[in-house]
Formats: sequence, structure tokens, C-alpha cells
Amino acid sequence: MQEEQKIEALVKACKKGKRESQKELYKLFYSYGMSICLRYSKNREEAQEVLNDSFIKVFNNLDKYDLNLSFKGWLRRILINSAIDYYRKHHKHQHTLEIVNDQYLDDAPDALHNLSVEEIMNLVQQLSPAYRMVFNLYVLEGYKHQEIAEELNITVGASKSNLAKARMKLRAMLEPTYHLKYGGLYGR
Amino acid sequence: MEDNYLDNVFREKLELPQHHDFNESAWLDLESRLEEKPIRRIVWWRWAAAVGILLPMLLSSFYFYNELKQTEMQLANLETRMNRFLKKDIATIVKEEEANIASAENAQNPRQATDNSVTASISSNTEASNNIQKRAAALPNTFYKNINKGNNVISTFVSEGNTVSMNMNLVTAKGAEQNQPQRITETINRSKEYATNPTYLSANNEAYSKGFPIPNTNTVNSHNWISKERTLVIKESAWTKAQRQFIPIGFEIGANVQGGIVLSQTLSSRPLFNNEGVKAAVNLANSTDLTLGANYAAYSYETQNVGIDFPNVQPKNTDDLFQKTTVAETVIQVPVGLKYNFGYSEDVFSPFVEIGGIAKKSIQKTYKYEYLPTQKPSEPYAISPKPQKTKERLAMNTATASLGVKWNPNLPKAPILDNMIVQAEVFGNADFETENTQWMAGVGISMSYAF
Repeated sequence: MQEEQKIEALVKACKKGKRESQKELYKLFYSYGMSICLRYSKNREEAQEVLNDSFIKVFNNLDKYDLNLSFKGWLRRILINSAIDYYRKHHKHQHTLEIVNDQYLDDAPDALHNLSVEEIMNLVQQLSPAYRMVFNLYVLEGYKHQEIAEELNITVGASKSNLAKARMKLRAMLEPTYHLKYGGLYGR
Repeated sequence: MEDNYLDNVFREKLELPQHHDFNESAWLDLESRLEEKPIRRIVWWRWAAAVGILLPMLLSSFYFYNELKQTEMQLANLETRMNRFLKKDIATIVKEEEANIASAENAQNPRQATDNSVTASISSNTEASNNIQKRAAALPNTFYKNINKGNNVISTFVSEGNTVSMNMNLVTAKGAEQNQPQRITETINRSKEYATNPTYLSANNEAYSKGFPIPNTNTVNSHNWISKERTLVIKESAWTKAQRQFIPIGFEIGANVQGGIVLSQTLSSRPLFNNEGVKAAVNLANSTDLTLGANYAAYSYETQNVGIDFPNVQPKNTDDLFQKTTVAETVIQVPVGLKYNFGYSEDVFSPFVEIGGIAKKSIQKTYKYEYLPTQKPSEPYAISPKPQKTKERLAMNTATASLGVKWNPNLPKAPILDNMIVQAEVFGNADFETENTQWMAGVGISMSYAF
């Protein structure tokens, strides 16, 4: 309850353009924002860029935010939209990228459960932008293929195909011989 | 490995709370971005479109400014001439009237004046008296009613027309019942009106009495026009009337310039009414816009009623029958308003309400009088005197309110549609210029494009 009141006070101050309050709000949601942005980005720098894009939108559109609704939910929506915008701007035509890395070899086929959050995050980040975007929107955000197609301006078929390929790549990365099968092929 | 299994593991893991240390440099980067002004790409066709819209508006504004300046100069000139004329002649006119009244009283017993005696009175008096008697008789009750009716019409459209009516405050028949005959009482009062009402002066000639049949003096029973009927029957079909009242056909096109300023040009046309102007809307605060505009409006109407905008022209022949008068008037309007927008700019549909007022100033009236020759009825003719400049101040006397909805297609894939906003509204005007508030309603459609 206290946190909600604090957020509400910060939002009101931010609406008046108070820089200190903006910084405090940014600081408060930095960790949360980064955890979402990292899923959609290939590295920390890119995630930070998406996060800042999102907060620019937040501060410029605070008057449209309904204080009765969850700020976190509103922010999450903006973060995802910003990630989509970033993808459209930078990665739209990069559909095939190398996804080779031998960092996540594991002896057990179901070692997935034993991986840490960071390791899972790294796996996702190694997907190509197109696969990563579809995988995130479908699996984590619960989008339908039709919605993904509209957001990314691709066909429903392409969305399904990218999701299938993303899963395939993730499975491949979890296989013990992954680096042997693909490491040389992609010439790393 | 099943798809669902894979998805669930990733979902569970990635939704777990994570901690990322705050990065001060990230904030500094964001802060610098917040402080810099947004840089917009220059898109040539947008600028071309903006110039294409704004240039005509600028030229129109320049035209209106010159028109106003010229009108003011003409009015000042007219006023000077009128004052000179009044100073010179009014004393003479009043003296003549008084002499004529005395003469008329000597010629007959006014208490016994009847309808039939008017003609006898006219023919037996001096020439000066004759003219006055004619005028007195020729200004029937319908004259005042119709002047008033004309005002009503003007008010309905553009709230103009008090030049004549506001100056008219004649005595009623009740007030004329004192010691003098009604007809002569009117004459005296009118002679006073001559001193204050230039319109009367323009009618003070022989042609006036020649152009109209002299009616029965029994019709002169009340001149308290304010409380009398005020409707004017304009010659038009029901459809035309509906169009005029409720279906303005026009458009407003504008450019939404950076900073929340919308400049637009308005054009509308409907039967008897044309309107064109420029308008600016400034975003004052969240969701609230202030609008200010300038319109150049022209309207016209015609009537067969004798008396309304009475002619100061002489027909070709004395016996020619008056048919109708067509009046065209030009007006400057200054609409102001406050608009509150519900919803956000990204919304596909966002309703709004607007309240405001319209200040108006009449510039010029042009009359056309049509006659039917007695000798050759098949060859009607018209006489158009020189347009009259109207002496009137800009006055705010119309309240407006409108309710509408903005439609923003909001289609990022189609930039042209994405930046376009179409607005539809219903509006009502209440005109407080006359004693009886005049109402008008209509619909409007406008479009703006955000650059």
C-alpha cells in the first residue's frame, strides 16, 4: 500500500517535470525494466537502450496514465512495445543470425531445470532477433500468432515458423553435442 | 522435449524476480535525452503540404486585414460626411416639419381625421406638408414589423442588423393618443428620428412615396415592434431551408504544427450563406484547447414584404409595382472557444465538448429592388443602388456550444492515415443580439493533419 502511494506521489511529481522524481521512479523500476528488456535484447547495452526508450515514453505520456491502474502493468506494456519498436527499427531484416555458443552444454537432456535464470536469459538472448521476438511474445507475453503478425508486420505463417525455429534452436543449444554439430558449420 | 515443457520452463524461470543494480550512467544517458528537444526528420512532402495549406491562409489573413482597414477608413469617411450633412440639414428639416404640422392643423381638424381624409389632406396642403403626410401614411405598421423581421433573419445567420432596429423606438399608438392626431404625432416623432437615424435620411425623398402604394392609415395602430411578431417568410423550398438551417456544406482543413498549435482554413457554403476564414487552436493545458478565428461571411435573403430594407431608389415609372428586395450582406466574424478533449490523442475515437462565442461586425449591405412595370408587366427590371457601408462595432453577442468526436485512424502502417484526424460535431448557436434569443443548430465536419 505504501509503495503504491509512493508511486502515485512520484508519478504526480513527474507529471510536473520534476527531474529528481523522474530519477527516483526510474531507479525504482530499473531492475524490473531491465529484466524484461534483457529478454528482448541480445546484450545489456541493447536492453538499456530499450529501457531508456521506454522511460522517455513514460515521462512524455504520464498524463495519459490512469492512477487507478497498476503502474507496473502500464510500464510493462510500454517496455514490450518499445522492444517491438526497437526490433522494427534495427532487426527487422535480420532473420538469420548465428546462434552458436558452447557455453551451455549439459550432460543431461533435461538439464534445463537446473539452469539459472541468467543462463536461461543468455539462451534466449542468443536467438536471432526475429526468433527471440516471436518466442518472447508468444511464450512469455501470451500473444496469439495473429497478434504477433500484426505487431511485427509479418504473416501468421512466418510467426509460427519463427516460433518453431526458436524452439528448435533452444533445444539444440541444450544438447551436449550442439557445439560439435554446429560450431564448425557456422564457422565461428 | 515437448514444446509445452520447454515453454513452461522458460516462462517460469524468466518470470522469477531478478535483480539488476542501478546503473547511474544509464540514468545520465536518459536525462540527457529528456533534456534535448525531439529531433524530427525533415520530410519534404510534409513541408510542401504545410506550405500549401499555410500560404493560402496567410494570404487570406492579409486580405482580411486589408479589407478591415479599408472598411474602417471608408466608415470614418462616411461618418464625417454624415455628420457634416446632419449638422447642416437637421435644423432645417425640423423647422420644416413643425411648420408643416402647424399648416396641417390649420387645414383640417385633426381629431376628425379618417382614412379617407388622408388623400384629401395630401392634395390640399402645401408641397412640404404634402411630402410629410405621404411619408407619415406610407410608413405603415408593417414597415416596422418587417424591419424587425429582417433583423430576425440577419440574427439567425450572423447576428447582424441592429443598425436600423436599435435606433428605432417610436411612440406607440397609445402614446399618440394625447391631444394630437395620431398621424401628426408620428410625424413629429419621426422628425426626431431623422436626426439620429441615417437610414431615415436616405429614405427621405419623393421616390419613397412613389415606389410604394400609400396604405390606409388605419393600419397605423402600434409601433412597439419589439413585442410584435418577428418572423420573416423567406422565399425558399423546405429542402433549401433545411440545408440552410441544419446542413452546412463545407469543410475545415488544417495543419497540426509542433507544439500543439493547429492552424486551419474553414470554408462553408449553404443556401444564402457563404463563410470562409482562418482558425488557430492552441493547446492550453492537458486536453484543453483555445481556439480563435476570423471569418469573412456573406449571406443574402430576399423578401416581398414592403418596408423591409425599404428602397431609396426611384422606379422608372411612378406606377411600377414593387416586387421584391434582395439583400446581400458581408460580415466579419471572430469565433473564440474552449475545447475539452476526452481521451487521448492515440485513441481512435475521442469525444470533445466546446463552448465559446462569436463576435461580429457587419461591413456592407447591397440591395437589389425589383419592379414590375405597369405598362409592360412581362419585362420586370431591377435597380441596384451603390452598396452601403455598415457602421457597426465588433460585438460579442452569440454563444456557441458543440459536441463531437474526433476520429484518428491510428494506423502506423499507413502514415497518411495515421496522422490524419477527422472531426464531426453537432453545434448550436444562441444569438442574444435581439430581445428574443435566436437559435440555430447544425453539423460540421473538419479534418486536420499532424506534421
